[in-house]
Amino acid sequence: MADQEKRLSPLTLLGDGALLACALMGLAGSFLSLYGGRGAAAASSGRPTPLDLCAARTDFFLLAAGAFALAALCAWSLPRFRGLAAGGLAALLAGAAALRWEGVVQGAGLAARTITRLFAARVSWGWAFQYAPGLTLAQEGEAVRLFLLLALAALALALGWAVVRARRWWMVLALTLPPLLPGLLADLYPDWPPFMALAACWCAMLLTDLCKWAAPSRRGALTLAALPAAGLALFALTLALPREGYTRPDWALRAEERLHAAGDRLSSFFSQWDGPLQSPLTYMGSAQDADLAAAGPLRYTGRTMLRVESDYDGRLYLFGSALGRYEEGRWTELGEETYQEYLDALEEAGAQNAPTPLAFPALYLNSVEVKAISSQLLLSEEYTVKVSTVGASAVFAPYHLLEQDWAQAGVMPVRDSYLAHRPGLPRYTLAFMPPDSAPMHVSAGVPQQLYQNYVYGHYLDVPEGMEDYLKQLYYDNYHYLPGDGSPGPLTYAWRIGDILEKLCVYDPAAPAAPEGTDPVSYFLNDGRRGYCMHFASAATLMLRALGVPARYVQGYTVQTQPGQEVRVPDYAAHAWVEVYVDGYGWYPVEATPAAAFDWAPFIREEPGAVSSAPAPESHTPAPAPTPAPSQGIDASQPPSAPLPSGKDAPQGGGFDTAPLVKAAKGAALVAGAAVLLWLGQFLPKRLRARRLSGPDPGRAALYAYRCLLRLRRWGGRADPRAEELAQKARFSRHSLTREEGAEARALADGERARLCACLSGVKRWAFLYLWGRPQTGKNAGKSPENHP
Amino acid sequence: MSAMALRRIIYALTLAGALLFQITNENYLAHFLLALCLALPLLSLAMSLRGMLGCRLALAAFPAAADRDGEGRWQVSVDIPGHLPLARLTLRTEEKNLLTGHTQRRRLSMSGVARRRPADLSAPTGHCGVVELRADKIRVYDYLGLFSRRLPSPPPARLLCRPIPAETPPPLLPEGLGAPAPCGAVRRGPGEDYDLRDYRPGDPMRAVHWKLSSKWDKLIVRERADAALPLPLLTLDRFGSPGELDRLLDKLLGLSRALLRIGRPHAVLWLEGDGQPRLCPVSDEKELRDCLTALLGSPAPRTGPALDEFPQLLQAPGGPSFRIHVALEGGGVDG
Repeated sequence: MADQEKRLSPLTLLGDGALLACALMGLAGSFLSLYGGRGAAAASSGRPTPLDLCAARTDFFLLAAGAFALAALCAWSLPRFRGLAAGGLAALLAGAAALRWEGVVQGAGLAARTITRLFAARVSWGWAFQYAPGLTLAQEGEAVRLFLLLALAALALALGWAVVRARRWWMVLALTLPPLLPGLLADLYPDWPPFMALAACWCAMLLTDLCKWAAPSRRGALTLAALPAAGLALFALTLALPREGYTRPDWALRAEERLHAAGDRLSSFFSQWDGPLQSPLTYMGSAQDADLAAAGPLRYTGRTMLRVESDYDGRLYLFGSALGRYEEGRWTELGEETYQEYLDALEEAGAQNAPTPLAFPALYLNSVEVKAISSQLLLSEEYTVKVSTVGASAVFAPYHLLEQDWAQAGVMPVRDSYLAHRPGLPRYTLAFMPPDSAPMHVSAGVPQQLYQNYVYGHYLDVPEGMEDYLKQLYYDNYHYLPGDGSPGPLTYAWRIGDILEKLCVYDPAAPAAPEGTDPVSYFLNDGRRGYCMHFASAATLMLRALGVPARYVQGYTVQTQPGQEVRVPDYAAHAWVEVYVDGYGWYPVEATPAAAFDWAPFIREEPGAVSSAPAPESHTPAPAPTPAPSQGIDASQPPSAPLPSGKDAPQGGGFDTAPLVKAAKGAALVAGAAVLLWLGQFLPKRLRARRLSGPDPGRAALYAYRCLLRLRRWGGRADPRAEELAQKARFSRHSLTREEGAEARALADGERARLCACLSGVKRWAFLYLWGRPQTGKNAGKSPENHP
Repeated sequence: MSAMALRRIIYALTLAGALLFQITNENYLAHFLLALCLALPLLSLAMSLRGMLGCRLALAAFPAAADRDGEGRWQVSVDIPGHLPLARLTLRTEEKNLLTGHTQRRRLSMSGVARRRPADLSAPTGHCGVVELRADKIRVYDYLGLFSRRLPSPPPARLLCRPIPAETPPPLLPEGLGAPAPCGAVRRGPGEDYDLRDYRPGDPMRAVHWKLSSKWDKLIVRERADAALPLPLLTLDRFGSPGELDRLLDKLLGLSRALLRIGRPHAVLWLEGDGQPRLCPVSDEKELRDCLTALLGSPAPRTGPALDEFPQLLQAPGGPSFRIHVALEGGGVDG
C-alpha cells in the first residue's frame, strides 16, 4: 500500500481533481443561488441582502472555487511533504484571515443573519440571528464576500484531504451538505446545474467507495467513469422528472393517510386501554393561535387533514377554533380568566347549569317552537356529518349543530371557542341543520342575554390607534344609498367584504408584513395583497371598529355529496369571520373574495372520492354556508356576497376520460414491453442464423466455436472437433470446405439442442429466450446453402 | 455481520427514509431523492455488470514448492474484462494438507480488485505434504455492494511442502548395486532396451505397455533393461503424527539426496493408506521431486501396517533387494 501511495498516477490526479472541482464549484454555485438567488429574494421580503450581491458575482466565486480545488489537489497529492504543503496553505489562509479579521467576523455574522432570516421566514420553528454591524449594503456585501472566499478556501483544504487522502464519501457529504441544509429545509431550490454537479460528486464518491484502496490508476479510471455516469444519470432523472408542474403522486398521499390512520388506531387503542397507567385525560384539544405577523406565502403539502362523509349535498364550513383577542398581529383565544366573568355572571343569576355558548344554536334549533315552524316550512331536514381526523388533531364541526348529547358524540365544547375530543377518537358524528334551512329567530333566554353582555364586553376590542382609521376606511369606501336604513351586523359584514374585495387582491404568495408593522394595517395600507387570514383579520377588526362583535375563526371548507367520503386536504384550510347575532349566537361570514376559491383545479381527488358537487340552489344570496337571516333579524338587502368561484364546481354531464387515458397508457406500456421482448429474442436469433449460414465456411466455423464457448456458461461441453475446425479456420493456410462449415454449425446446433433438453424450469425458459428453440425435423442439419 | 450485509441494511434504511420523506413532504426534492435512491443501484449495477459477468478466478501456488517452515504463497488472480476494477470479491478458501489431512478454512474479501494484480496469501507450510487450495462460495459485488453474483469454483492449486533434508552420510552399498550401466555395454538396439513382464502392484502406470496389455488381456509392464540391475530400496512406514512424518521424511530426503550425490539411483517403497504398495524409482532430482509429490500427496494414517509384514513386496525391481529402511529410531540395512 505504501508503495502504491507513493506512486502518482495521472488518472488518479485527474479523477480526484474532477471530484474536487465538482464538489467545490457545485457547492459555491448552489450556495449562492440558494441564499442569494431569485428564489431567496422571492421568499424574503424582497430587500437585497449581502448574499444577493455575492450571487451577482457567481462567476468570480466559481473561478475561485476552481483555483482552490487545484491548490488543494496539488497539496494533498504530493508524494512527500504533503502535510507541510497543506499546513503552509492553512497558514496562508490563517494569515489572510488575521489581516482582515474584523471583516471576516462581520461577513460571517451577516451571512448567518441572512440565512437564518430566510429560514425563519419559511419555517415555523426557525430562529433569526440578529446582527447589525452598522454597515452600508455595499460594505456588507464586501464583508460577506471576504468571508465566503476564506470559508471556501478552508473547505477546499478539508475536502482535499477527504477526497484525496481519506477517500470517504460521508466526509465529503458532511462537509458539503450542511451549508445547503437550511435552504433545502426551507423548501428553497438552488440552481440545478451546480447542485447536480455536487450531487454527481456525492454519487461518484459513493460508487468508488469500495475501490478506494485499489491501485491508483484503477481508482482514477473508475472515478473518471463514475463521475460522468452519475452526471448522466442525474441529467436523465432531471429530464424524466421535471420540476415544473410537479405534484405529489397519489400513492404518496394515500400512504400518508394510511400512516395517519395507523397512528390514530394506535392512539385509539391506548385511549381505550383499561389496564394500568390509564390516561387521566377525558377530553383533549386546544384552540390554535393564528400568527398573522409570521404568515408568509402559503405553502401546502397536499396532506389529507380530514375525511368527511355527510348526507348533505353542498358546501360546509367546519369551524375549528374561534379566536377573539388580537395582539401584535396574533389571534389568540380570550382564555379561561376572561371566560370566568361569564361563568360568574351565570352563577349570580342562578344559571350554573346553562349550556356553553357553542350549544346555543343547538339549544335553539331543538326547541319545540322552532321545530314546529320548521315542520310547517318543510325545512325539518336534519343531516349528519362524520368527520375522521386523519392529519388534524382538533375537532372540526359544521355550524347549526343539533347535537346536545356531546358526550355521546365524543366531543365537548370548551368555553365559547372550540370543541375538544376524546383522546384517540379518530372519528365523530355530529348532527346539524342545513345552512339554508336553519331559521333564525330572536330567542333571548337568560344565559343568552348574559353571554351577549359578555360578548359586547370582550369581542369589540381593536388595537389602539386603529379604530378611527378602520371606521374611516369603511365610510370612505361605502356610499350610502337612499333607503339603506340602519344596517344589521350581517349587513356590515357583507359590506366590509365588498370593500376588502375592492381594496385588496387575493394573493396566496403574499409575503409576511415587515417587522414592526401591524399586519392588518400593512395589508390595508401598503401590501394590499393577502389571503384568507388577512381578509378575515381585517374584516373582524373593521366590524369591531363599527361596534359589531366579531371574531376570527379558522377551520376547513368542504364540498360534500351524499354517500361519498370527501378528502379534505390541507389547502382546504380557511379563515373567516363570525359575527354575533343577538339572540342567536355566532354566525359565520365569508370575508375572502371569490378569487380565493379558485383552488378547485388543484384539488387532487382520490378515486371514488367526490371532487366537488354542484352548488346547491340557495334561496338566499348569502354565502353558501351562511344562510341569510330571517327578515326579523336584518331587514336590509343582503349584499353581493363573495360566493365561491364556480370553477370548483364539477363539470357535470361530461365524460371522464381519465381512466381511458390511463388504460391506454398501460396498454401502450405493455405493448412496448412485449415488442422489446420480442425484438430481444428475434434480432439475436436472426443475427446468429445469418452468421452461421454465411458464405464463408471459415467464419461460420469460428462463430460456431464462439457459440459453443458461450454455451459453456449454461453447462455446455467443449467439443474438440469444433475447436479443431476453428483453429483450422483461424490459423491454417487452407480454407474450410462447405462441409466442414456445416459440420461446425451442426455441432453448435447439436450442443444447443442437448442443453435445451437437459435444462429445466426457469433456466430452460431463459435459455430458450436467449438461444431460441433448437431446430428439429426437416430443418435440423440444413446445409448452409438452404439456410435462410 | 458482513460488510456487504451492513451496506444492504444501510441502503434499505436510506430507501425507507427517502420513501418516508416523499410520503410526508410535498417538495420536489423529496421526489428526486427517492428516484435517485432507486436509480443509483441500477447505475452501479450497469457499471459493474461487465466485470461481474466476465471475471474469472484462478488459483496458483507461488512458488510451486517450498521447504517446510519456509515461505509459501498462494496467488489469487482475477481476470476482469475491461479496465475498471472489481468492487469487491469474497470467497471461502480451504487449504488442505493432503498428507496429514489438516484443513484450514478462511474467508477472504478483496476490494478494488484489478486485473494483473493478483492477491497474495500465505500458505501453511508447517508440515510436509501437498497443500491443496480450493476456493468456493465466490461472490463478486457491484460498486455499491448491493448486488452479487456467484462465480464457479476455479481448479484447485497445489503447493508441495518439502521436507528439510537431514544431514546423512551416504550408506555403504555393495559395488555395482544400483550403479549405472558400464560404458561400452552392448545395447540391443532401439526397441530392445526394454524387457517385458507382468504387472506387479506398485509399478507406475506409465510403465504399462497398453498395446500389449490390450492384446494379451492382462497388464504388461515394460522395464528398462539396464534398470533390471538391482537397485537399493529405501523403504519407510508412512504413518504417524504430522511431526513424526516430518522427521521421517527429512531423513528419507537426506538419504535419497546422499545417494544421488554419489550417483546411486535407488527406489523408494512405501504403503499407501489403503495398503497398496507404491514404488518410485529415483535417479535424478526430477524423479526425486515426482517421488516426493507422490509420497506427500496422499493421506497418511496415524497408524498402519508395517512394510515388514509384506516380505513379498520387498523385492527391488530387477533383482535381489538391498533395502535401507528409514525409521525415526534406528532403521537398518538389509541385503
